Amino acid sequence: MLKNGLYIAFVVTLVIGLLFYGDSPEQLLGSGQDKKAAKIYPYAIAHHASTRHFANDGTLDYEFVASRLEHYQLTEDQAPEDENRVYTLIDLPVLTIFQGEQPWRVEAKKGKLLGDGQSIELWEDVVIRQKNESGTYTQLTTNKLLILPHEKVAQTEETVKINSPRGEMTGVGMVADLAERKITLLGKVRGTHDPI
Amino acid sequence: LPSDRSQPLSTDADKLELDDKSGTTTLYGNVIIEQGSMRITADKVILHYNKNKLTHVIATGEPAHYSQVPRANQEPVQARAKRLEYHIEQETLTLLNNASLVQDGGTSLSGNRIDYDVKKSLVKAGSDIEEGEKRRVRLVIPAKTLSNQE
Repeated sequence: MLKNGLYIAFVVTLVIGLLFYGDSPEQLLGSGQDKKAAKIYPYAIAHHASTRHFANDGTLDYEFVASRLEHYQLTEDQAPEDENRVYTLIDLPVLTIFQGEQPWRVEAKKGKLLGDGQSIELWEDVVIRQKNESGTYTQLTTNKLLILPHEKVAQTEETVKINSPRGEMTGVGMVADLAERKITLLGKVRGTHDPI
Repeated sequence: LPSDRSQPLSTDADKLELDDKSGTTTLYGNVIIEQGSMRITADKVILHYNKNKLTHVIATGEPAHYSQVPRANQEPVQARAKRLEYHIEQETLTLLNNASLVQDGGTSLSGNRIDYDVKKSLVKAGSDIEEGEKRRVRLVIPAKTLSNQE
């Protein structure tokens, strides 16, 4: 019984000695940090890009202009989640949504076209503007916005300020149905309206 | 107060819906509307516009409240009803359904419908109403007010 015990101890000591002699612990056990993320490079870059999208009846649906587009196609290592692998970063995006007589113009400093091409995230000085029949403007400003161009819907959870001929209104959270010309502020609504 | 009309109108609510097509702005939840000494509180308020000019305000609640100081050094008029209609141009207030109005000095009026001329401080009460139970008009003049007038 004792003999076996000694024998096992000898083997274990031998193995540990080989392992630690042959390789440094760091290589064996990993550096304890994540492997340095591989540098991500754009797949393609476009400058002064402009695209026009048409509805089924041939009418202009929306127009998209940007000063710079960086298109990324990441590998599975770089982006484990499928939906984050293909996207396009945008500088100075301007989206003009044609609806009724007056188009809506949406602009920001930065944006991101998501892989499915169905939605665009905008941030930094986001402004939505429409000229009214009376020549005045309705303007919405916020920090961040998600636009669904096909549905002509814009939504955010951030603070929004609306300046319109009816006065100035602020709220937290918004859904704007640009086709139906209906804007909903979802919380903490304050408004001041000119004397009547 | 006569100067109320030249003051900006402020609104406060939980939620707002601006509907360009129907020319309305609807406020939902703990709604407070203020303009000078005029104050409306309600569950829901619809601001009606014509070419971006506010024409009338409809407030509904359980009940909705209205108060406004008619003239300097007077007590505010207090009104309540399930539905208040405030017509801007005419400066009239229509109270519908469980309506009551208390003027300076405590004179109070209740019925199903009360029409109040804000500028002239004139009140007319009636009970003609489509829905809600029929209620007779009731006028209460406090004794103190009566003795002052003798």
